[in-house]
Amino acid sequence: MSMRLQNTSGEWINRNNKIKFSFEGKDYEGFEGDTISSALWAAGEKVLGRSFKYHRPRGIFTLANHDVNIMVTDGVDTNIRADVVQVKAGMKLQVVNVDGGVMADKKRFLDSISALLPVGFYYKAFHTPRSLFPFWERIIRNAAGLGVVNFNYPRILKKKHYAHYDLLVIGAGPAGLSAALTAAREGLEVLLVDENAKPGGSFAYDNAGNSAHHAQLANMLSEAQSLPNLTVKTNAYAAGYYADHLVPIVDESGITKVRAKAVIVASGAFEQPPVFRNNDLPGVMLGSAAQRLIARYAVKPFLKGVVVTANSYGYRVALDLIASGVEVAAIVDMRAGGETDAIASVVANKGIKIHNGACIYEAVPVSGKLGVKGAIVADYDEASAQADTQKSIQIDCDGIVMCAGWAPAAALLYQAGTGMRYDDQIHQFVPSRLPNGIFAAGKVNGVFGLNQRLQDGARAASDALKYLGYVGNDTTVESFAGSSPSHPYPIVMHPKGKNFVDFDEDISVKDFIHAAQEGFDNIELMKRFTTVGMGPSQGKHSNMNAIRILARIRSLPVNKIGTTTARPFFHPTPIGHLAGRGLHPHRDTPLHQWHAEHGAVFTDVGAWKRPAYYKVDGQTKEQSIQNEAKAVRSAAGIIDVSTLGKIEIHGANAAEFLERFYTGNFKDQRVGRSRYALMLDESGVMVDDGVACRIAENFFYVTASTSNAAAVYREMQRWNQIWGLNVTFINVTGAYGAVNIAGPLARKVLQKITLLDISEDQFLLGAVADTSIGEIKARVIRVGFVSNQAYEIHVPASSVLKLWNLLLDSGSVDGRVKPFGTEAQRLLRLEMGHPLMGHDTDGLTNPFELGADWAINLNKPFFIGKRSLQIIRKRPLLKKLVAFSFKPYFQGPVPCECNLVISKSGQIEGRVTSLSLSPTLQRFIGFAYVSPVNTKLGDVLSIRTDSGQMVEAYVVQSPFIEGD
Amino acid sequence: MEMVFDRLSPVSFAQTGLTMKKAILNGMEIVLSYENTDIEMQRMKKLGICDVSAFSRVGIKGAKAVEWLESRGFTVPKAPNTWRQDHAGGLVLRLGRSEFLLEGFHQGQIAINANDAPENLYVVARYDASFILSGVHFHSAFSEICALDLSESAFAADAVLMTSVAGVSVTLIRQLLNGELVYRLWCDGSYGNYMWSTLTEIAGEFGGGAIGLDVHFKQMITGS
Repeated sequence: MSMRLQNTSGEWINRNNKIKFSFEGKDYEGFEGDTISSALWAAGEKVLGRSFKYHRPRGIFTLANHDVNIMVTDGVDTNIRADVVQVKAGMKLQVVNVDGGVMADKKRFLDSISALLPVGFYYKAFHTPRSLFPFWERIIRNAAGLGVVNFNYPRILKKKHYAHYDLLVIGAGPAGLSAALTAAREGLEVLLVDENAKPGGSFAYDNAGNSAHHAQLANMLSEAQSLPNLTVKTNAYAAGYYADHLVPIVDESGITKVRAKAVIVASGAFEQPPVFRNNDLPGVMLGSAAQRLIARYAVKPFLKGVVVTANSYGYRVALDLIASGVEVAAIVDMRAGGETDAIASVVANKGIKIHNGACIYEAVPVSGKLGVKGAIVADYDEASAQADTQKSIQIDCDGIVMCAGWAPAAALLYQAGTGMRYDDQIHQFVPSRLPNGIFAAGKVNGVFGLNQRLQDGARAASDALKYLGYVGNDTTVESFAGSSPSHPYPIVMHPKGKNFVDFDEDISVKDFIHAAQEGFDNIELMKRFTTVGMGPSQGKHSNMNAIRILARIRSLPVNKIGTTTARPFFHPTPIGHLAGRGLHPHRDTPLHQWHAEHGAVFTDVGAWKRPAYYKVDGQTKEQSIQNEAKAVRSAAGIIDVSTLGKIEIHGANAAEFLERFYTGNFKDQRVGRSRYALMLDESGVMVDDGVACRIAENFFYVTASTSNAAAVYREMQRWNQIWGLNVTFINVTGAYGAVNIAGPLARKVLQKITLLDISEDQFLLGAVADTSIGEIKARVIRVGFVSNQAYEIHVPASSVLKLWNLLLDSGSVDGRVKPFGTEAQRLLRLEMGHPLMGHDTDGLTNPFELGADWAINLNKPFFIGKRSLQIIRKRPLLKKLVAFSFKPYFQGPVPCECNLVISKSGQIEGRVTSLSLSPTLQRFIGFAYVSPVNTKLGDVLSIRTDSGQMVEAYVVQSPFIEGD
Repeated sequence: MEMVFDRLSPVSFAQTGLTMKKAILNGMEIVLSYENTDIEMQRMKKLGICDVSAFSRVGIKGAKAVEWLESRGFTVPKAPNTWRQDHAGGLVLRLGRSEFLLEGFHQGQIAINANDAPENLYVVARYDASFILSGVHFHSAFSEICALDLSESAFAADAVLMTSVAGVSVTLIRQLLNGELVYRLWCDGSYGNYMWSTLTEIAGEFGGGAIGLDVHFKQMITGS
């Protein structure tokens, strides 16, 4: 039977464009503009989904993006919210969270055993025996969940944009529209957003049987369209509030990150259901849902219905139902005194029976709970929340609308840091203290009358104008008069339960009582135990009732209970939206192209792309790495070290600065010499190391590790803000590149292309000199990290390729200069006995544990971390890094880095930090942290491999090799 | 015949494989055109990305930088985070109280002899990727990759913005070049390939793309 009404004033559907689609294998027809739910409801379908836990049939409930039991899949996308997503031609829709279809769902039996499945049942029931927990876990995990993830979902780019406005107004209902127009008239650049397909909010659907005010709405929308400085964005929701008025606005195309100078939150309120048995049946819906169905989609909610209410709004809904041709069998008013406003007489004069001080004790289901066939109405005692069923009556009906009150849509206000208080006059949380530049208007501000909301919007805009330095008009908002829009406790107890508070998770009143009895009587604990508000709608229609129930259980005012945290995002947002374009900033060295053309396999080191090794056809990765290392040991290798941090430190206090910043001595360092520079943090933890080269009396050139360069530079600047020394820092990390040539032929190869005398006795380890290589100005540093004979050559970045080719050409006579990557570098430095910062250290390692005492001068007046080291030195060491090796011809399973060293008593003693097969020694060598009592040469380390097998290694001398 | 250049462009890897007409400027390869003039002019009007990394560039840092630059005849911006066009045609960007970036088409426009620098004044080596961006879609494109309001009302004509574009720290100014509003962007050369790829990818979505130096500086260089 079609429930479609004749043309309705302001309807959102286009009757000239019919949309054909299928739902659960059956063909349907709707109109352009219909949501999936409205099209199905118009076709007479009421069972549109099943509940999450008990698989109870569910129909339209809010029609406001909170009908999370009506989620469908079109085969590609899943968990499509049918209540708000527009139906499209050709859609083939299936309900998610059912097994065998929505009508024949095999899991519907769960409703009949619900008494066995109270909240938290799995915490207790399957705790023991532990051996069976995996079995139960698998069953529960298979039973739970909504749609199936489509791993073949196409990659569709959803863009993220920034936008800037003077004023952002969230919500285009009466208050938001009024605010936006008021501000735009004064010249502000205004963005007005609303999650609905069209602006207007309840202005357009809360008609009380009379749509005369639509002319005013039309005028406002017309004016909005005419103002060039007012942008109206619909089908877009404000997803959260972040510092300095940054609000992401989500729509189909992506996310717009709006930075506004001021924000008006006019987001309205969520209608809250009264709680009675079977309040979830298809055909039982919120009053606002019924109004939306009628006004937006021209669909009759049902044929004959009962209105249960606790405010004047229920009477307005009743008039809309009557105007749409619905037979209103009765109004059940939960308030003992009933409605005092004149609207009650208007309704009564239409012959509608009004039951004051009454409640719906339960909704009577049709077979299979597929709909409603009646409402049992009983007297209601507001103080005890009990129904008096002695004189109850059953009213036959096929639908029930619920109008018990509201909860503010205040998530963004909370996130902005708004103070909220519970107003006992209107029984709602309202803002008590707004942050600078944030304003609230309309229902979220506790203002409900239409004219009052229009005034409140203008008032908020005026406040925002003043905040932004404009002249705002003083606007008066008429004070609230009439009955409270919300009932303080719209709960009806029922011995058989199924009086649902949270429809996402099938949580009923008794679940809260049990939670409190278990001791979970704090709102945050209760939330986690019962899972109230943790479903897809995030408690938008359940949190307020949960708070009221907890307040009553604890005999506390609602204000004392507080609210749970409303976190971004406001609605579930696809990951594709969050990902956006997927920008991955990275740095290339000037040799990147050369590396790529020569088979480099790149690895990420900080932001840099570095060659891990050069793939050689016919060789495995390990063989390639071993061969690169062998080339260095037998002839010479070159590695691109352009990624090193490079910082110039100029000034009369340059040496003094280094003495304070690093652990060693620099004042007595000679020009033309380099020294190891170890950096600690204030707690004495090693954070970086490098080399400090004295180029001139007042000029040092310092290197830092690749991934720490930016942080080291930043720390230098920060510390000198405190010290105020006469130094200037210049970060030339990107401006210079560097190449390290190492191996027994390194000197010979380099000497051929430079006039600098680098003979062994003239250019000692640690020597530094500025020179020319070819025609390139270069700085040469004699280093010993990977080889006894190694030279680090720094040149302008634009000349690194030229230098690289010169070195290769120079070595081509011997044909033995090979490039090597970071993997071989790690192996080579391990052979040389050099720990690697960040690899052999972690966020807690101090220099004593690493054996770097030699790099520290505790006699200096000050250096960063000195005080902590003095304290640490007095305490016993907890661990110590040792070099270890396996016996020659070791055949056991090879451990991995990070495998644990286990003590004789079975305790964790330390861990392996480095491990490689040395091509020179032909055995595995490594570093590991061990107990300080286990560091003597020959001490045995027991290492637990990934398989659990224990292998033995021995503490050995470091460095592992004498040199090239 | 393969051209011989002394200095490697920071965006050379990203431009590998493109059909290009090249020249050498200041010892570095630079692209004069990627497509025919009509296509490049269309791109310029929509969203053109022109690589000018080969321009000559140097940094000056030190307490007496203002006096020293003025003594050498440079037009020095009065306030930090502003820029001026030097009378010789180069750009002088004041990056802070005592830090400057000088850029010229030719080295002669920013002639600095490091040996002349007095005590406590330092010549800063630079290796920037540098681009000129033009076209009506600049704001739409940059709204995706830059958090700042770059509209003319918020972005002063002489302002130097130091911000983040596509996750990379950049320096940004806007400039009238041959009567057209263009935007100039500098970032560390190590990000050059990434920045070029990202900008040209986005520009392509707007009907724009890479444009050669001829579009903006046809009169100033002769191609090979």
